[in-house]
Amino acid sequence: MREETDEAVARRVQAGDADAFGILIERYETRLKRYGWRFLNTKEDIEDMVQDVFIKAYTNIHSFNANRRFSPWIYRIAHNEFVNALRKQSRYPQSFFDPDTILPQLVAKETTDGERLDAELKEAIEASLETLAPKYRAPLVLYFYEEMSYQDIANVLKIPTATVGVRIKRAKEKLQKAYNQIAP
Amino acid sequence: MSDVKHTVMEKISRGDLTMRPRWHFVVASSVAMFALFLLAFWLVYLESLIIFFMQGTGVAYVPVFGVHGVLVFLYSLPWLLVLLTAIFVYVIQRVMHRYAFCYSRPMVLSIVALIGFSMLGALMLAKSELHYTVLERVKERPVLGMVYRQYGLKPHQEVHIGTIGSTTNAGFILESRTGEIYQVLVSDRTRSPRERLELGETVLILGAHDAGTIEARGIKRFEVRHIQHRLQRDDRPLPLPLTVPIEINP
Repeated sequence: MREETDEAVARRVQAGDADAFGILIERYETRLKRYGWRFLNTKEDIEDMVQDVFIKAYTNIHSFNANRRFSPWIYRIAHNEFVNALRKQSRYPQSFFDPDTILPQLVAKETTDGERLDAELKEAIEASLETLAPKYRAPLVLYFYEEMSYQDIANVLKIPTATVGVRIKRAKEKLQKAYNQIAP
Repeated sequence: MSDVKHTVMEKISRGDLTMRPRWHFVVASSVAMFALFLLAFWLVYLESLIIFFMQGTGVAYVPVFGVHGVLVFLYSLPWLLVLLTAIFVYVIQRVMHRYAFCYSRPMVLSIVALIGFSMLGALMLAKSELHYTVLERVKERPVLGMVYRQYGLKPHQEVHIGTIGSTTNAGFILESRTGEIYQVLVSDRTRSPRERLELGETVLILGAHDAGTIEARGIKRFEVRHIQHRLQRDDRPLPLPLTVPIEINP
């Protein structure tokens, strides 16, 4: 039997079936914690933050358009929560204009599944993730670890799709540079 | 059951956690759209006001007279209104950024599109009678009246508008809309229309004036409609005798 989609479950919650929200928590708790650990580079307070994400998601469930995908919507809430945590720690650089989002970028093609990272390489990257600025870390984690499409990442981060590709490419270059310095 | 799930579900079952009703988001979205509409209206109004002032004072047309014309144009821009317009564009862009059609495109494209569409509206609004009507109604009032007086009634000192009264050896006599008489000197360096100018035609002249004499850098036909309802400072000097001929149909 096919599993009920996230969107169908969310629709049930919107209709008043509060218990159905438990299914969404089960499906996303681990993923959001994992994203938080990698994005914030800490496991401290992640559980509380993810709990707040679900509280916000439940409170605002009627703002979710069930004709769209649920995953980017909840990741968007989580991303905002984590960015706010970074801001509180003054670890998130403030900028009015981000050059990556101002000018049109060459459309960076999404790589095929075969080019996704294998487990060993993922571990190596994870060790260097903290050297990346948050704006590069987020798309990299969402793409390689959460296996999201460029379009979904663009919706989570609210940036142009082409910018997602550019940031992932730059993130890889920066990681490569950091790796070369450690192991020349 | 995980701690997170247990805590959240317990809060829900106890009633500590409630969903915001759908109407809450409908109202919030409507308010945002209305705010966006209002901001867009004021943006179009501001841009049309700038166009109105630039056209009314003739400054909008002086860039055709070359580099000096462009400099006069830039100097005469109502920079306070331009700055205000830029702030409006920025705020509207930020408000629109919540929608996918905006954030999914580079910022420069959404700003160019915003300016393009608002300028189209502004050009149409500037062609209407709106600003003439507003000017007539508010010219004595403190804030808006000051804005209209400040920018609309004070043309650049090198920009002159009037009708050709008579020809002289050196050029022609210009009668400004408020009755001042100027002697306009025309030379080979003066940029003027290919077709001959007629007596009684309204023209725009770019040129410094000294003791009632204007050394014309450029002359352009000017539509009478642009100067309707406008007032002019009455502080211009009388003309001097003329010496150089000009080709004008009597």
